Amino acid sequence: MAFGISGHRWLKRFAFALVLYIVILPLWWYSLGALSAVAGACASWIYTFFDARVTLNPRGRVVQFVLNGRLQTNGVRMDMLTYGLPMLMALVIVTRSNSRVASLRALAVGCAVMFVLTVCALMAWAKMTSGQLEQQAAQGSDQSSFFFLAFHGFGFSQPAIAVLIWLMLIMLGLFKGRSKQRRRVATVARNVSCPCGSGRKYKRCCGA
Amino acid sequence: MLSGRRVTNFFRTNRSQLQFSALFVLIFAASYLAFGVLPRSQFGVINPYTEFLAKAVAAIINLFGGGVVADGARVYSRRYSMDIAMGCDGVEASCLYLAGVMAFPTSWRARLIGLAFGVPLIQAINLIRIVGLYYVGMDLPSVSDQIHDYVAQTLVILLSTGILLFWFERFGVRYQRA
Repeated sequence: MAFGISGHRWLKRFAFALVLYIVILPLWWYSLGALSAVAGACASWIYTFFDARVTLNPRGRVVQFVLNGRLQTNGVRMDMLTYGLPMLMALVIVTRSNSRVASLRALAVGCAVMFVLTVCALMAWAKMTSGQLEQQAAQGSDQSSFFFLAFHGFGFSQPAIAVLIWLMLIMLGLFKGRSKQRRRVATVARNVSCPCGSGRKYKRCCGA
Repeated sequence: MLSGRRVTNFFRTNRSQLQFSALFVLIFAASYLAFGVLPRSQFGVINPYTEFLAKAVAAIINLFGGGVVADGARVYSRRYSMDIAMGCDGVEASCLYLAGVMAFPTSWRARLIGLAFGVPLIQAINLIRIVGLYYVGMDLPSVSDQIHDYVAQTLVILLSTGILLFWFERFGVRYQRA
């Protein structure tokens, strides 16, 4: 398994990724409202299947938690849940690929995975908040609970999660387009001998 | 549409890659829980390592005449004060590196070399980040939150990934299992 990044070339690429990340950051910041609305609506819709009392209410760059129609908390900051997204985009853009379609596909798959993770995180946050509210009612606030720290850890780990997704996209070959050799083989006449060297006609061998 | 045969072929041809990816995620999650979440939820918010980091940060800043004091996880001077909290200890970056090194199919020798030089290097980079954040907070208070939240953490993770890729190419592949 090799990543095709040898010597100090990665350093140049990462410097470029960092610059690109800083360029993408404002775009991401101004689209956070729309991202919150879509992710909040999705999480809220999925939540109706598990607990109809809970609603997630997107408002600007935060998503609020509503229990039995009453607003319960100030809300979760979507920027802290999704700041891995611009980094993933920067990493995908700087990754060398032999096809633009493959790059776009990798970008789409990466963003989709990030979006699913965000919706899951919002749902976990709603569950945690409702649990915490019940806990607070029973025994007072507990800011160092396991779920509280695990959720915040997910936020702090956003760049690491972006890197994980990026490495997986590379490993699964999503940056590789269809090779030219395969296209050339596809244009071989059906009745000539097969280019693979089997001695049989192409139509009875690789072209079957 | 994806046919069943295509999905089966995908899993068959990408078996080692999928194995690496699954192990990578599992080890990252497990090590982050073990080193990042559980110590705080089980033994309190300030752990000894954070205190050590605060002392190291204060010592570095004092080398340049900062007049800084470390008190627990807090570093302060007459001009500025900051807390070394969860997410500032470089655990995410170290766990990412650890997961990459452990999941890669290579020899234990290569893994040990990777952990021995990589983790201390990442912690040193993180230490420089905290020192840098202290100066940014003191001199550029208007943008310090944005730099702290979005730039500094990302920079450390990018450098950690760079170290990981360097290890993959120089040690991981060279001592790869047959």
